[in-house]
Amino acid sequence: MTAHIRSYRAVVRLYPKGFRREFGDDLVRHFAELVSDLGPRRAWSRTFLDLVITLPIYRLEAIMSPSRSNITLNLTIVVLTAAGLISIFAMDTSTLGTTFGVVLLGAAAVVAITQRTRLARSLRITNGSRTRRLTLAAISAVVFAAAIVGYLMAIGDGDDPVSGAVLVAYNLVGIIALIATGVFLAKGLRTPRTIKAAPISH
Amino acid sequence: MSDPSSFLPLALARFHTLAALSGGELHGYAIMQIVEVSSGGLVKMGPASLYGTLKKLVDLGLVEEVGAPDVDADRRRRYYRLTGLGERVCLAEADRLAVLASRTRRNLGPRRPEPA
Repeated sequence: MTAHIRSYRAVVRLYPKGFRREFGDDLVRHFAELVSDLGPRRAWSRTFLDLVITLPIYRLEAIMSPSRSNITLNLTIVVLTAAGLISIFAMDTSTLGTTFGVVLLGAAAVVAITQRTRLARSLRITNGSRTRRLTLAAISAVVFAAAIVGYLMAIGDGDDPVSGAVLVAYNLVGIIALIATGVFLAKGLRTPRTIKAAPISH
Repeated sequence: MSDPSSFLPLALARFHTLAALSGGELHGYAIMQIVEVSSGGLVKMGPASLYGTLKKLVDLGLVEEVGAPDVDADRRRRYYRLTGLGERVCLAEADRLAVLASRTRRNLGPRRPEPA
């Protein structure tokens, strides 16, 4: 095996595992034939362009596949929620921090609702559905609690007048979080702990 | 989804791959060579583009993997062929492009004299 083919075999490892398992050997054989027919230079020029175009696309497709997208979306929700809470409570410039935080929490709520809707359309209940729903209920409850604390702190600080928009934002986030908590909790508790195996037909 | 028109219009790489397979069973490298020749060198598919396209076509049910077509064939290679649906989709896309080409020729040729 030439150095060119060894190099290409190494590069093939950058593709997602599923694609690599299915077509890894075909890709390397294909490249070896390209080297044999066109010479290494032209084979690499064609393959390099192919790599640049397909690598990010196939990676993205693998991330967005149904099996991976739940993990990605849950992570996105957690990160957005955490960033939103940090912005609201930790940033020094209160109005800017609050606005930014509310936007992030709103985005987290939108992602969570979208994800739940997508999952609700799916009839299949996976093993982790109960855990995921209860986790989201817990996250929503934390957001709700944070919204209440933020609201009470805002109205309790008499020296620093708070704009009405900030209070409305706290209310809005609190209401959305409360609804989300109830919905996720109800769905989570109604989801069976284990999945019953489908009867085997002979 | 077995209505051929629901797959149209086909992406360029997909149509070229289906068109190459319309001649019979082929392995990946042969598909790439035929696509390059039939497009006059304009479409050059790299390895990952080709196998990614084949995977999507297989997932859509337009192409299927088959065993080596004859005893002389390289058994390490994977061969592909059009399914019945793949044939209908390929024909539908060819017809669509033929109508488009015909209309374009009718509109543009023979060339009218330039206005003075």
